[in-house]
Amino acid sequence: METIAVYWESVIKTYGFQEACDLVLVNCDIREIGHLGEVLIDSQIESLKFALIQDIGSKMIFRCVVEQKAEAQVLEFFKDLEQTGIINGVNRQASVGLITFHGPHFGDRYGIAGAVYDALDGKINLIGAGFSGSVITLVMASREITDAKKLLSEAFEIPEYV
Amino acid sequence: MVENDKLRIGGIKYSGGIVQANLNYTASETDPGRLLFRLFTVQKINASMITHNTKGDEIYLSCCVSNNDRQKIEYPIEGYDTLKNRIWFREELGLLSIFPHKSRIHVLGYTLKAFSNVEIPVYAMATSISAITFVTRYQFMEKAVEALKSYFILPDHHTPFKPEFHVKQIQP
Repeated sequence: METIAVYWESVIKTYGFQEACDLVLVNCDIREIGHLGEVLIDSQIESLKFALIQDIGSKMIFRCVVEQKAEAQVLEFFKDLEQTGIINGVNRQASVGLITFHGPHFGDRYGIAGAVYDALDGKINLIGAGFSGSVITLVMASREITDAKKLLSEAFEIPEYV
Repeated sequence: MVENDKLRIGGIKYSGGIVQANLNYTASETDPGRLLFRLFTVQKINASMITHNTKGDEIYLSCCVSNNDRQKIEYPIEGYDTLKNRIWFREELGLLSIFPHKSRIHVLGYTLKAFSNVEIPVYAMATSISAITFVTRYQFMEKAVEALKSYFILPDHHTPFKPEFHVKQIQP
């Protein structure tokens, strides 16, 4: 069954807009997801902020964003796994920020990703992004969060919190 | 895993058939990614899941669209030098989402382990504030759900795994 809907606004409505700074991004290339899964289970890491896996054909990229307090623990687990050859190229990037927002039927309507990329206009160095369901998560350097929010506010209705 | 040790989750959902359009480019180019998304808007294509990774100068973009929308991408990109012959597709895929995950890294870990146990491939994954979504082979959806039951407990009256209706936006 298919339901046809009409929904169009000049500035796209959002339901929530969150930002976080001074996080840490950990990257690696992975060969096998099962062992990565076991490491993540054993790691006991609290508060995973964001994670991405992408199979780009030649390799699989894994990235996770965690709070600073978890950085040492995460790196220790991944360095141990690197010794086994299951993953390689473990590195980290500090002072990373996240912008997360969602809105009505973002996962069902066209034009949302285009609005995000047009708003950022190549002015923000996006380290990573996930558009999943109705939620958008953008990863960038912490120092770019304020500028990114300002650019996104041209296309998206960002609620003001009192 | 014994029943008492399994993690409680709210539900599992999977999509209809999709294809994944992949585009790799360098940061020094005049943003083929933006051009691709403008094409999606003009063609009224909804990308149900997108992953973007920048590593050094390289940008990797993966966009999942419904099977029906593939032709709406393939033919128009022939007219754009920056996109022509650069987009490669993975076919016969589907999205599987687990929710909520409540920032628990164990949900991600056990899911990867469950998929690995039955050799279900993962082509992309992204977490959000409420769910973790995977891109995998559509033919394995039900197998994936059964594999997940080894580690997760669903509520007695959980929502159906497959969507019962589909929302589609038309231009006003």
